[in-house]
Amino acid sequence: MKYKPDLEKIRKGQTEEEKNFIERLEFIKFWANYVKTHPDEEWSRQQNIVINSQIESSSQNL
Amino acid sequence: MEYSRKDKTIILNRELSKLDEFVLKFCKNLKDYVVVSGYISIIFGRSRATEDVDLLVRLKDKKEFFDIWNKLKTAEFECINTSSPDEAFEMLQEFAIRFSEKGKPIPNMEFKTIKTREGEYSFENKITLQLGNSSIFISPIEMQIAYKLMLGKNGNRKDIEDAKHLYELFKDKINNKELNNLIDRLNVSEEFEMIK
Repeated sequence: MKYKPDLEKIRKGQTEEEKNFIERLEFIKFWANYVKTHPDEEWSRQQNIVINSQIESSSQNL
Repeated sequence: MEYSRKDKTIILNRELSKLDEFVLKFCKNLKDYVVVSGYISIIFGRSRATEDVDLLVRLKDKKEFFDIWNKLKTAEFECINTSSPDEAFEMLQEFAIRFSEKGKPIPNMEFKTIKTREGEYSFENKITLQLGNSSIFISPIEMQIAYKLMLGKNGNRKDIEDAKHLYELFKDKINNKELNNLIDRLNVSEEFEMIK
C-alpha cells in the first residue's frame, strides 16, 4: 500500500504552512484507509507505539 | 471493526493502549456518562498522543457525585484539583475537574457536567463501543466530526485533522443527512469542505 498524495491539491496551498497542512490531511486520508482495510489488531499495534511512548515518557519526566 | 448504526454499537478488536486501559478502568466506576472529543479519534486509529480524555456526566445531585468519588477513590484514582469532594463538587458546577491514577497525572480524565446543546446531544445519542470484554459509551460519530470542525474554526488544525480521520473512516457508514444537519447547526460548512 503506497502513499500517493494528491500533489495538485497540495500545490494549491498559498503558503508553505498551508501546503504542509494539506499534505497532512492527505496523509490522514491514507492512514484512515489503512485502518479501514487492515485488521484492528494490526493498525492498533502500530498506533500504540506513539500512544504508549508518550505516556511512558510523561511518567518518567515527572 | 463492526459498526451497527441500528444498534448504536461499534465493536473494535484493537490491541489496547495504556490510554485505553486507563479509560476502561475509569469508566467502570460510572453509569451515566459519555466520552467525547479527541479520544474518539484516537481510539479509532488517529495516530497522535494526548494527555487527557474528555468525559461528560449527568449528575442528579451531590450524593451521586460523592458515590462516584468514593468508587473512584477505591479504584485508586485521585482528583488532581483537590482532595476534598465538597470542593470538587463546587468546582464542577462551573469548571471541569481532573482525575488520574494516584501519583500519575498523565493521562487524566477531564470530568465535566453537561452544559451545552452539543454535550446534551452526545449524551442522548451516545453509542456503545465494545472493546474486548469491556465497553464504554462514546459520542455519536456525526457529532464528533461536526464538533471537531467547530473547534477547528479557531485555527486549531489538530481538531480539523481529528475530524478528517473520523470522516474518512466512517463516511460510508454514518448518517450523512444527520451529519449535514449538524454541520449547518454548528455553522462549519467551510471547514467541512476542507476535509471532504
